[in-house]
Amino acid sequence: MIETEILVIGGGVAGLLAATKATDEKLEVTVIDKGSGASYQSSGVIDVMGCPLGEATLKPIEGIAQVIECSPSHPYSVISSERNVTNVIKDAIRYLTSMASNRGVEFKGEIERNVVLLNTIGSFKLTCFYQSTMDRGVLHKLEGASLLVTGFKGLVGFNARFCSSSFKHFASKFNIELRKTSSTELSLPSLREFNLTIIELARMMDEDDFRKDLAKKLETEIAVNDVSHVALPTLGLKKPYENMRIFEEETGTSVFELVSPPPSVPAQRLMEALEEEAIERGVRIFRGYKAVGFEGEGRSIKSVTLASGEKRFPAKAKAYILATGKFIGGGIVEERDKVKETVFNLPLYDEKGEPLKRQNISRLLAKSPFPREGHPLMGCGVKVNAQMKPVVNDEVAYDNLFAAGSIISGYNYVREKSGMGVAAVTGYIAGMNAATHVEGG
Amino acid sequence: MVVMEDYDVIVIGGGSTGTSVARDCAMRGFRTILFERGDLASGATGACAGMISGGTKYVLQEPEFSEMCTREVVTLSRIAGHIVFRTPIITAILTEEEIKLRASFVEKYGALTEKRQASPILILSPQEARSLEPKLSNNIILAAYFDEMFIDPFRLTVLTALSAKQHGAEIRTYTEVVDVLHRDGEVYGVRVKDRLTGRDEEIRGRIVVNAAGAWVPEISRIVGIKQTLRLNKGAHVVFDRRITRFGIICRALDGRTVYLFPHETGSILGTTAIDIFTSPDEAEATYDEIEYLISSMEMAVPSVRDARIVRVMCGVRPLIAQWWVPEGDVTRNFRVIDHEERDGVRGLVSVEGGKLVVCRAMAEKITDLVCEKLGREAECRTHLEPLPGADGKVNVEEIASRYHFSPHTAGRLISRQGTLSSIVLSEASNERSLLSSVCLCEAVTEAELRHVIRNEWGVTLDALRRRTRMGMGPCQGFSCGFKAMAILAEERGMGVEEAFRELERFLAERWRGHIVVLRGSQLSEYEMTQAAYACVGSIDMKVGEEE
Repeated sequence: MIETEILVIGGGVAGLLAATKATDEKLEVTVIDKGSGASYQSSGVIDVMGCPLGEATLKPIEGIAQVIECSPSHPYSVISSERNVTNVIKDAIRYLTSMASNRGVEFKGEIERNVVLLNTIGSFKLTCFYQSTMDRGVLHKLEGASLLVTGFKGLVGFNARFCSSSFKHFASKFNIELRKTSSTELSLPSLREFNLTIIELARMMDEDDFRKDLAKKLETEIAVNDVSHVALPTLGLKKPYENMRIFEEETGTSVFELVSPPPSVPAQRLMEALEEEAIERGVRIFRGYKAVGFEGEGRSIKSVTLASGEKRFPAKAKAYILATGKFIGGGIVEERDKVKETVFNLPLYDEKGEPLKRQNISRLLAKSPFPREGHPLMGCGVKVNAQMKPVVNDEVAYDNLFAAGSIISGYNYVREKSGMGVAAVTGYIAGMNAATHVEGG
Repeated sequence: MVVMEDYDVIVIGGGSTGTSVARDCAMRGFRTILFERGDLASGATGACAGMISGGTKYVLQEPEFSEMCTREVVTLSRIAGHIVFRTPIITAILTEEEIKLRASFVEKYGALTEKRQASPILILSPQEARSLEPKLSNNIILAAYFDEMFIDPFRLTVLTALSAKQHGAEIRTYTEVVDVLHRDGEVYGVRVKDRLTGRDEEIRGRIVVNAAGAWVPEISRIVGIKQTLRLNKGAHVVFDRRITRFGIICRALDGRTVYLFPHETGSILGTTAIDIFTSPDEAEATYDEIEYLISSMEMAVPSVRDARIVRVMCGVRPLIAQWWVPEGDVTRNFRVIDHEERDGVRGLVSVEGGKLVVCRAMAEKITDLVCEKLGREAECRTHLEPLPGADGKVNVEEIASRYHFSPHTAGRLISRQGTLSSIVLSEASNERSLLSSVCLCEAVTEAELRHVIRNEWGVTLDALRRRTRMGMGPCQGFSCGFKAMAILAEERGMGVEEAFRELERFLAERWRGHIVVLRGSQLSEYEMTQAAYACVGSIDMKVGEEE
């Protein structure tokens, strides 16, 4: 049995932000998390609005304005009915980045513009706020650079040779000319000869001996090449800035870290920072518990049923924040042609705000895997009002229930490149409002 | 337009039959060329379950054909040993009336077990069956145990093509026959289009063998021949793991038979049989077909309902055109057609019907006819000579310890490459990073990918998948797609845009088999793939116009 003032279900970015924000009001907040969720599978940068309505933009604020005009169900639009959405996004992201910064993970970027980053696949990513390990590699800063793409023998999933030609190609698509790109594959005796993962490599980089060896290797490489910038698949898990500084001093070049698909070191770094900071500020985090049901009375949630293995027990709170995510997080599941919200059995809505009918799920999928207009399935979730309270038929479902992150419908983060931005702002507002509810109640 | 030199035999179709014909013709000394419009085994061959049986279904109706099947099981086990595996099977009986139905089968099929080099059929009580296979339902009233041989249909086709090449045949994949050259009632060649380069060519040959499977009538139509097949669509559902230890066979809801076979690293549930009357290009599995299969099998294995589906595959059987009987009663035997005799068109031979297990025997019959037509006497030797990699046994432990890598990865490699495994790994002695697993689901090393790109017509990611099983596991290309793309681009000198287009094509192909069955826990894999390729990889964004 858990008793707390606010119970947050889900320990991703949205849940941790909501929990920490509520703790600021001196409330007792408990996060339950069934494991590491979708935020661990992110890229560790903060997208705010990259592709409103399927068209890429370098100006997120304009993108948000377009969304507010055309998509009334979008969380940004819903928020805008009560607040200046740009300001509250700024506040939420400032809050998120300061949490990270307190644990040594620094962000750069500004809401006025998107930047283009290069990734370990060999393509690019549009985003708004990025970890400062990536700063020297922001594409518009690379004009005229001679870039050395540095791989590691045995590292799976990063082909430096391919990336060196593809980076030149994609840079030119954005009208940035890289003077020269070259590649190398370092081989260090302490590394596994094959099946080396990026996480292992990052951990190695946290070791003093290894990074000294690596710095030397890099220096030798740079001595024979005319290089101004060095791209690495990772700069280490815990000491990336130190590594960056050491490598830069040793080589006299600018060094940066690439964005990567999961498993992403920057994402792990960010999530560990947020968890540590949340705990530091008084949030309790329980891992390995899954919310499987609830007790309600009228318009009030009385308790949530937690499961750990075969055990079931209730968790009681004055307010609840649902931040369970979509499919990776387990907030939504599909059973026999029905997509369901897993904790409160809330009805689901589509991206346009219409109730989701029971149907064969393939009807919510586009014919091609990565359509610019996105899959309707990714826009499904619970519907919320401007306070982040789930609504059913435009009525608040429960007075003490709030939602945050990708469990919310009305937006498609895959298409829009808006995932962590929406998670941050909805988490921030849900945390504030849950606290207000408890204090007022 | 380039006009190519003459050939004795032009084979159309790179499935198990076409490649077998090319191999047999080449082995008998004919100058042979084969054209496949897609990849090898990209039609019905690649969509089958790989069972090479003595004709479980046909033993009662077509005993002679069943005998042939039985012989071929033994032949394939001999010439392709490393890609053949034995699967123990339990037939679960759910109703009284089935007992009668199955009794004569047990008797007749049981008589063939020795010839098939299989274990004898055993009758099991429900308790016995469940103690062997705990996933079986409490509702079964009786069970029968037997075993069957299976083959990797992709490897069979590729190895057959490799053998053909070793005997001098040319194999051209992604090359579509767009015209059949003919005048005065005589076929003298084909015009082909290379689908990767767009280049056109004319090739002359003395005999054209139409082994295009479901597309046989489309080729015949070009020379004005009307040829009808009973095109019949079959779908398989593929699961992420081995749901059962034994293969399970049971009666479907409509009285047909369905099966759930452990297969490689997963399970295959099949199959449906629906006559189609549109182009085989259009054939796709439907939601109802999948529900039919699951609803049928869950009577015998209830947990199949909640098992994680990774994809569905669909193929079209080119059955002989027998009508007014259910699909199950249509002969599985084949027919070699001499179009000179039937339609007065010289230089054209085609084949109808047949099944995977008899592909070599079909080729033998066809090549006998080719010999007759071209006036050459040459003995068939395809049943004697092993396919590449099947000329001996390879010790997994020995390979694993020689290269210091995991026995699992070594074992998976050997199951595909047999005695060629040490050639695949030859560069890995010096370049250890080649032992990295590019595909984790199926344990495919970089060394293996590079080998098939260089030696097995591995020109697309799809082709790499068929040769190595890369991307066939639960993640369906999420974690291996981009890695393999970079390797393929490097090996084939592809440009960046071409490489990413290739990646998109590969993921789109995976998606087609995904979309109807995407459900349950596979949805989290879907979200991962979406996030990785669209949010990080920006594969859905076109650039150039942004700035």
